[in-house]
Amino acid sequence: MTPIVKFFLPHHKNNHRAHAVKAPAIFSYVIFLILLQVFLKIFSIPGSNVLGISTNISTTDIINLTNERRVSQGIRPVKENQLLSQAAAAKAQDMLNQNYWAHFAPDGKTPWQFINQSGYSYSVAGENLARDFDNASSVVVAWMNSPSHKQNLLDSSFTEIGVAVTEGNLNGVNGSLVVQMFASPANPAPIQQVEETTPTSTANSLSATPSATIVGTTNSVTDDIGNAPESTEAVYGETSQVQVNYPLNPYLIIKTVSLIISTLLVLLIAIDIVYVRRNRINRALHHNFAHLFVFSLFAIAITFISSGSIL
Amino acid sequence: MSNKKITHLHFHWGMLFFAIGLAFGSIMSFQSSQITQFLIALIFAIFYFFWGVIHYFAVTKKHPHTVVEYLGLSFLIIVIAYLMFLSR
Repeated sequence: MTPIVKFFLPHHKNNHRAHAVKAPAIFSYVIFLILLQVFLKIFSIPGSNVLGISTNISTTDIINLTNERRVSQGIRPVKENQLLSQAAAAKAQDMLNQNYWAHFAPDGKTPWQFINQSGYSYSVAGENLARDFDNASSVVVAWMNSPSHKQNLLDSSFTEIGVAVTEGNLNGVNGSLVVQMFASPANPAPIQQVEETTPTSTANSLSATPSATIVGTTNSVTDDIGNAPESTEAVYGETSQVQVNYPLNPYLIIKTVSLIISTLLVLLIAIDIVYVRRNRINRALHHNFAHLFVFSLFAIAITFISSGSIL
Repeated sequence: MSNKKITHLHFHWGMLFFAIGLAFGSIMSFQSSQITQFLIALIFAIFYFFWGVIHYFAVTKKHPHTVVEYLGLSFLIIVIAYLMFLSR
């Protein structure tokens, strides 16, 4: 019996218990993970070429995936508006410049101020944010899993969209940043529609000064236009694609290694259960079913957990 | 402790364990905040360790290996959760 087999499989020479699932081995996994983290911390220097992982988030993909979800729900798709994309890009840049992760800037700047500054006149607008995701699909799935963000994605009062994807250092963490802005251009028809379809709006639609109201949660804003509505010419321009290259992605590496260890433990414990039953070995120790259950659950959680966060 | 009591103990703790496990699994799957995910994993691991301690006192007082095994696995869960939280 080779040492490798003895390490992974139960046998009378290892007291019918694989070394890989014994306490010393489990503690060695812990030490290995800690050392791996230290290694990643040391070598995770910008410009280092130890490992290469690239992240692709395309604004086109975000828009297409958003429209796919809308169409599947019987809601008309939104069209890309260059001015909204500019507003989204300005918001993303402002977050990086002022180092904040929120809908409202520390200096009090609101999401709709970026839209106004881009020259887009709107009747209703909303904003979704996401950071540190690996791909566009994960971003849209995360938004769809959140009721408030889903509400924005599937809001039939929105007709146009602008998306910006950028990279940078936010709160000391390098990563990607996605800003999605929805709006409808200001004209008489959308204003009436907004009053009918957004019952939570508390602002007076006839007020002379434009006012803003948060609908539902902080990720959606509406603005009633008291001034004479202006038509906004939508410019449908080309979309940009941002490729973020990280020399090391510690999160993905830790996640992968953790998943391998958890899955290995699940497999070895399952083998142990079969071995014990087949050989009719009586054991007072080793609660295999409890461990199997816990690490199966843990492996599932690691698989589905996402590094990104939404706002 | 009689076998009947051990069975009851297993049942009650098992049910509680199952409920916490389900909550843990479902919350970890969603977009809860990173610190929340870590704290849930921490609570779950601590609970799992104490579950092992209870088993030790209920069944295998002469074999502390059980507690060591639970301790090791709980520690592994905490370390993985913390490193994933740290590396974001």
